[in-house]
Amino acid sequence: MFFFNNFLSAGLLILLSVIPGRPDGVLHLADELFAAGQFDEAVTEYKRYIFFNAENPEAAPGYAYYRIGLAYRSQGRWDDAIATLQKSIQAESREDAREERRLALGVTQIACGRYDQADFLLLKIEMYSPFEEAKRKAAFFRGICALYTSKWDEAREAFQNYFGGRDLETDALGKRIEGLLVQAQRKGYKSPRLAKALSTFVPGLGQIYATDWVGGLNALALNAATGYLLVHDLVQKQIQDAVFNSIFLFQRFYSGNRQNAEDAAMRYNKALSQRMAAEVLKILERLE
Amino acid sequence: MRKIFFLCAAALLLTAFRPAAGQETAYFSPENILRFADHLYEEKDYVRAAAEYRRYLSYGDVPPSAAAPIYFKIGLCYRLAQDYPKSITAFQAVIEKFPRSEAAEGSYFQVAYGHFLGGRYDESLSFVDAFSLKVGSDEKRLKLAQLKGLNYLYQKNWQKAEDHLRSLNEKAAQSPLTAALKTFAEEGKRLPRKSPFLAGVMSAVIPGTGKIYAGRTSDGLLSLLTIAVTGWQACEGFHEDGVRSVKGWIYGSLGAFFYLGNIYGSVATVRIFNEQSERKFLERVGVSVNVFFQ
Amino acid sequence: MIGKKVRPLLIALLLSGICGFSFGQVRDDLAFIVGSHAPPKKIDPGAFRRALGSGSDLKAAMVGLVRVYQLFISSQDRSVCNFTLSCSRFSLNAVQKYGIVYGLLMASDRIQRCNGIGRKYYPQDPKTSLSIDFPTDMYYLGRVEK
Repeated sequence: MFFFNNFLSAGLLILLSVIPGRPDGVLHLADELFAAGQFDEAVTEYKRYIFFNAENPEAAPGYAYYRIGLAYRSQGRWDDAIATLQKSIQAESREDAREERRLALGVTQIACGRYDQADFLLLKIEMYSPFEEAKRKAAFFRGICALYTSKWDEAREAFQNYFGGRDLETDALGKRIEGLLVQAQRKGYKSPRLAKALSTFVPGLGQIYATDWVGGLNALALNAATGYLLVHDLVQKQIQDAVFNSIFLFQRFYSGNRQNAEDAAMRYNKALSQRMAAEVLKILERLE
Repeated sequence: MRKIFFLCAAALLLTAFRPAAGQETAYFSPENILRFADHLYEEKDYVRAAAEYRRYLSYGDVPPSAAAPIYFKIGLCYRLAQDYPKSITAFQAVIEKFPRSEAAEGSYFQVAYGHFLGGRYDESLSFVDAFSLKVGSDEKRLKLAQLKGLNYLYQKNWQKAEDHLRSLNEKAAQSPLTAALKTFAEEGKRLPRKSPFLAGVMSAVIPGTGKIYAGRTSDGLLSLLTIAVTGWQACEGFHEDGVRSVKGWIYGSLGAFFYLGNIYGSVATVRIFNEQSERKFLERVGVSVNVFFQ
Repeated sequence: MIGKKVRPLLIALLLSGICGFSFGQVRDDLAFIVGSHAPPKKIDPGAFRRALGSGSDLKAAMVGLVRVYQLFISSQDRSVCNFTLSCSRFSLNAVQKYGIVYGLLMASDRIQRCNGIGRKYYPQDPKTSLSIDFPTDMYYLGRVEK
């Protein structure tokens, strides 16, 4: 009993040193302004805190930089947000907080479309972080990154790492997501090369193959008209007119038709990938 | 059990009343607000710095000798943040509130300079004419006079700029900035200028030559080729089938469309050429004199 | 009895204080990412009609012709325009802003300038390598020279 009570006293003293005291006044004000969405004012107060606590060993400038980074992120100032979040990581001494900020940096990079940078950062966290929770979160966001870049295999692997070993209900969710990703890989994508080849033989056919009916019929009509003019001039032996027609009309619309067929197939594939990614994201957003 | 209870209670009480890091700092004391404002100014965060300077002034009890430079600093913050209307308002406030202060002397120049930076050269000139005599210091009066010359240059009034700069007294004439502005005024008068009317006439007579005169040789040659080909095809068409020739009318209309466009384009291109050469010259002027007006 | 129940709670409190922070929810971050990828607002379908403004019927017909050309003819052409703002868009802007006469003249001049040889006269857009033409109002002869 004596031994236990002394152990408890020592433990409470350690706890006391770990738990922070009352939050700093200006930091608290900054947090309140941030929560109210007044980001400019919040940034001012965070900067005030950093300025006056530059020499204070007990201060937490990393936290203030982190919040400034989040404020810039909310305002869509991506470059400023990324630079400040990187500063917050350097200014932080605690490893768990650093990991949290690295994750926030990864999220910011995904949000502004810098997928390669985000993937690289999150992969490093997934491989080297000492914290299991951080690793799982990194895997999750790597999956999100892969969704936006239509890398279905990578997305599957990442979500398997995230969902693997969780409770049954979440596993069912994970299996549903995996099913969607498998479907996305096998979905009927259109070949741009085939579209271009089809339009080479019959103008407009490639666009129709890529489900661009209006474009296909338009191309067919235009190429038929200019082709007819060309043939008519050749038959009538009006070589000059035939040359002008072929240079300024037929050749332009014929090669344009081939290019458009390829573009139509690529647009179709992009739209399909985006639809599949949106379906997966809808399920993920319902995660508890 | 009682011991455990008292230990927990003591721990909680100590936690609740333990001061946070930095709690001793009086963040919002007037001195610290001013320090923070100066820091933001050094960091080039001018809009925030202006807000903090205003906060400092709002505390009241700031003596005029200290307030005037703060108002001046606010004006500078807005000018450096390129918010010229707010900058002008702030400097005018210095002049109205502290008319005999040194800050007011500097503010006359800053108001005129703010108008100049905002592209309002007439307002800048009017202000200089109205208020230069109110400035006591010779040095500041000279700066205003030089700004007047710069305004004339930016209005492309080269002769007026030269006349004004020559009218300055001997001491002012020796200043390196005055000498530079005089040189720029002379250079401005000699800037290459082309005649839009001549370009139009040339293109009307021989399509494309107006554009070649404007310095766009390839555009001119292409126009000439296009108009020549369409004209030739139109002639062929009318020659074959007479007035009813569809080919003739199509190529003829195209040819007319391009011919008129070519004349219009030659005149527009020469105008743009003149404006661009003046703009590049004034950019050079701006870069050279910028260091004198900081 | 009470002591036996309280001890494990106190130990848990002790341990949770020492073990450090948790990493928060992924849901908020995911919502932020999805929100920042929201598709752009669709162009107001009435904008084109309003853009015709209160101009004459002839002007409206001209604008309509250019739109038909954009939808059915130039869409089938190769991407041959050398400028960032295509010639048809330039022409449309010119007709809408300055009327038919100036619009047609500016369009004709622009079509003649749209060639691969004249690229050296304009600054290039680093992303698309297309030429950046001067603003439309610089080609309007009715303005006061700056």
